[in-house]
Amino acid sequence: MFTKVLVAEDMDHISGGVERMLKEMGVREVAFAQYCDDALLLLRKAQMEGSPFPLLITDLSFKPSHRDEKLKDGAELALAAKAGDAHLRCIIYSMEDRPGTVKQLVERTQAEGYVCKDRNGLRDLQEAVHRVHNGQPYFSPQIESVQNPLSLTALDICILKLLADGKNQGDISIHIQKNKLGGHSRSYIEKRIQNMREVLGAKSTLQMVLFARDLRII
Amino acid sequence: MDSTAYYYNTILNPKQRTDIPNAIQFYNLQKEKHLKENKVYKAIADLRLIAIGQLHLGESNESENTVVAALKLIDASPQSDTIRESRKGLYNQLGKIYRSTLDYNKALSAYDSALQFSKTEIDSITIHNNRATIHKDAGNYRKALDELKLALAKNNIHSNPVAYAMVLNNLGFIQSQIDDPQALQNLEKALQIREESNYLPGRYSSYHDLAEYYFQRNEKETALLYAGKAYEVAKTLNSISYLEDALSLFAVMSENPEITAYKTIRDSLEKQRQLAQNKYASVKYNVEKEQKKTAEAELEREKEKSQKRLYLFLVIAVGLVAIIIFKRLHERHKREKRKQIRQTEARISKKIHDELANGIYQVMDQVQMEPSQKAISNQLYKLYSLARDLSRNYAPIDTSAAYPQTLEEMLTQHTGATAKLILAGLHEISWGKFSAFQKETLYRVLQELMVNMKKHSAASLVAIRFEMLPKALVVHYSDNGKGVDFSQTKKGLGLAHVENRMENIKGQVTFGSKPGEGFLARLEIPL
Repeated sequence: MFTKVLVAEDMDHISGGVERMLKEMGVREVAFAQYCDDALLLLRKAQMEGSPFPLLITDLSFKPSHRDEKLKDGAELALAAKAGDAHLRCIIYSMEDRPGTVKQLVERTQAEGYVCKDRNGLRDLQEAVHRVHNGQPYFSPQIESVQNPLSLTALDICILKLLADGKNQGDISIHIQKNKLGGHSRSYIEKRIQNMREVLGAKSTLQMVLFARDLRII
Repeated sequence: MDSTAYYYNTILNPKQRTDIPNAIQFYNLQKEKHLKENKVYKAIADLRLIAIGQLHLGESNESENTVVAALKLIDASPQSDTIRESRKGLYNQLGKIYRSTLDYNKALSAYDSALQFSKTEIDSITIHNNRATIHKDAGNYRKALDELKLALAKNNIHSNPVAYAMVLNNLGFIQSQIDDPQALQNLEKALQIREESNYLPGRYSSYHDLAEYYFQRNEKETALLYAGKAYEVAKTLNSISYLEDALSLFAVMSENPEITAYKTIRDSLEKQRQLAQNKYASVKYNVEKEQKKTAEAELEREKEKSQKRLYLFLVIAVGLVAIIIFKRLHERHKREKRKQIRQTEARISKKIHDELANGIYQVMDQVQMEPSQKAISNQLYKLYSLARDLSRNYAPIDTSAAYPQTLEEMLTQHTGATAKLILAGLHEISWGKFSAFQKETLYRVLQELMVNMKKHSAASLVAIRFEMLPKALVVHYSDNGKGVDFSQTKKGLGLAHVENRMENIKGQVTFGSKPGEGFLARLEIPL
């Protein structure tokens, strides 16, 4: 287990819960910082003293302080901390649970773990610390479970319209080829239709077209 | 004889009145020529000769106008001695004009003005003499005598025999009218001086006055003798006006009562004719003046009209500018207000997140590990979710290049695991063409529709299609939920917000729904 962990969190009760949990896991030293700037200073100090923190757990949002903070949020802290210590691992522990936003944040900060603060937050965090310690990434289930929307391309809409006009897949392929709309192979068109049917939950191509018409997509 | 000298003599000493118009025409051309050459002094001299010619023709008003024109020309040019000299001559001419129209007061004041500008003593002697003549015409013999005495008091009057004789003769004539015993002595002395010189007009005047003197004193023989001498001089002068004047002496002195009667009637007719002519000239002049005034007034009205148009134009322009400025200020004020609202919303959003949601989380955190508190934990989670959603709804919206992702994120968030989201065209729109405010509005409007969808529709499919028209972006929202009956239900607060927000960006929104047939919205945002 990690010997020491720095927790950047401005809510005392959350810090308390995290500390209890970490101690139970066998972490010997748990340090706290209420502000991002302070957290970075603590990381640097430990690094200079020859005993750097191997793990940083940080919130994203902090209450504004009376001081002029250089680091405005946890993402900036994670970036700065990782830039100063290549071995440092980082778990973001935040209420932010919008998958796209989280995805962007993780990409930007290269954080090893992302845990949403919710009902199961602490339990998930425990899991995350374990995984990260074993060199694996961890992301809360709600981040991963959200389905991506079906993004219809201009070609998709064109296919739907042609189907609505009563064209079969062969006709559609020829039409698309003629009008240079790209991706005109029959198998590709078949794949698109299959995909749309699934997302729309249609039992047949006819029903799919009806759904699409009801939804004013065509 | 060159033409200049000929015309000059024609004006000053006309043998025939019919020659005068040509001379006037000549000097008119001269005047134009001199003005073009910028020889103002010469142009003034031309005008003076024209005025003299016009007076000979009996055109007293024309003559007066010519003099006034010349005086104006003087006023407008740099002052010099020669100019001063011309002023004296012009006022003298003005005196002569008023004498001819029997306007004695005006004549006297014109001579006064002439006196002011006269430089030599000879000049002032002449002018005093002229004033005396006016007083004589008016019957004010006393005043005439005073004027002549002023002339005689001049030091060097004796060195100019022509002037001296003229004054002396006039003195004698006036004295004769009031039976002053010295009258004859002065008349004869004047004649003596004039006979010594060769100045014929002077000599004529003496003979004429002596003839009258003797005639009035009933010494007809002597009177006729002088009248004969006057007639001889007139014949030498070969001037019709002198001849006429000389012959009229004979008519007056005639033994024949019909001839004297004829003379009296003729004189009175002549006077009437002169008065009538004055009156006619005056009327004609007034008509012309009136016409000129009318034309000027017309011009003035035209000017006023165009000025009015200009003012109207200015008023409209100022009004338009004011409206534009007002609109700009109003627009700026609205922008400021929106900014303030956004800032306040962001602050509240952060406060709800950091303090309320985190506070609830704290409690939830404490009970989540206790299996016995599961119900409370669930309740707390609902509260926590509410607080977090509230915070999110008022969080600032990223309108930069990441806008389509931000928008998609929000939409996905709302459909969650319950409904499927179908997007078309979102990433093909050039979002840079729209203002931050428009993008925020679209975000909030779609958010509102999604919240409604989540709350009421139980839809399993939500489709949002983005379509770029030449001048607007059209967003089609549709779901396959329960729908609403607009004829039964009033639009909720949420849809009212949507309408308000779309109105603020001058966009349009239409809703469509029937029970069991889903919900439709068409949003149009102008470029």
